[in-house]
Amino acid sequence: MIPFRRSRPNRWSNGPTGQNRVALTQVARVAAERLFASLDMPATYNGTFAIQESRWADPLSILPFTGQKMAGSLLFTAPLEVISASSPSPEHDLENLIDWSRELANLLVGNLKTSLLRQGVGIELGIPTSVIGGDVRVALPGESAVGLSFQDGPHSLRVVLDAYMDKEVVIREEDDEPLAAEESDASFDMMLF
Amino acid sequence: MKKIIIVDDSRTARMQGKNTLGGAGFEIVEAVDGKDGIAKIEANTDASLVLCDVNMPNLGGLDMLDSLKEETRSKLTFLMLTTEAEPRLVAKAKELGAKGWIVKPFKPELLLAAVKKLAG
Repeated sequence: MIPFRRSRPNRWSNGPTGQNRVALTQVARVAAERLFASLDMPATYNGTFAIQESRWADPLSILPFTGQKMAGSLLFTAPLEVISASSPSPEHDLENLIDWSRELANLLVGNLKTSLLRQGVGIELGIPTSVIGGDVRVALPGESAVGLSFQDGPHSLRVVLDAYMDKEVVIREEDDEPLAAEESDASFDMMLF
Repeated sequence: MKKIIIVDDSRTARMQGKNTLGGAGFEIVEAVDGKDGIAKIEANTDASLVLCDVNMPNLGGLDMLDSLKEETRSKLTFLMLTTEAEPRLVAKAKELGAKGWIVKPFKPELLLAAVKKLAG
């Protein structure tokens, strides 16, 4: 089990601000775009959105993460149509689709972790959970959470990164291009020992 | 027919593995977390390979490997299948005797090739 930090150290900021916020938003966007492309999901980035004004009618999957320099959670929501179209499972009942939504959140944080590792920021992934309801509202501190919107045809996909970090951490923007395999030890599909 | 134990808390991931490997003639046993994985490994001593996620509730994949007796570990081939790609975790898996690491999302043909190579 991963020990999850319940209160953040005093040296940590309330969340990314200034250039760190811009860079973290970009890193999260690139991580999501790489994942969507690898799953053949035709989702394109549609900018940031105001979290406080949002209502979440779709399955909402949440994955907490923690680390020495950064901790928080990632939220992912997409309509069932999008979840269903991208699911590798032939069974598309609600339970399977919610499971796939959780797995997508897991994959998103996995990609984000790989990107952050390249910058020397390690995080440990928690276990994803899901919420579903007709009018789900999520209270997140606006000063820390970054909301990213993606469009897949008429459907909107949303990724929220609610991250607190050590004030010493500086996040750099990622290269938008796909990574060459030799660019990082933390970038591979398979390794046999 | 060779037997594969798939240990993953995601039913989608288990189903993906089951469809890919079951379709290629392997017999599949499913486990929903590391604790269940240990139980299934103990109950299926004829299994050839364990395909195992890392982050799971109750007991994670690396902790599951660590919990198994050396004798049990040495008789089985472990292949990790996870969203993680952190070198520290890969090194830990190798130290615990795992024979491979695949990062999700995975291509079915890649998984099948790895399992055929490791499980024969």
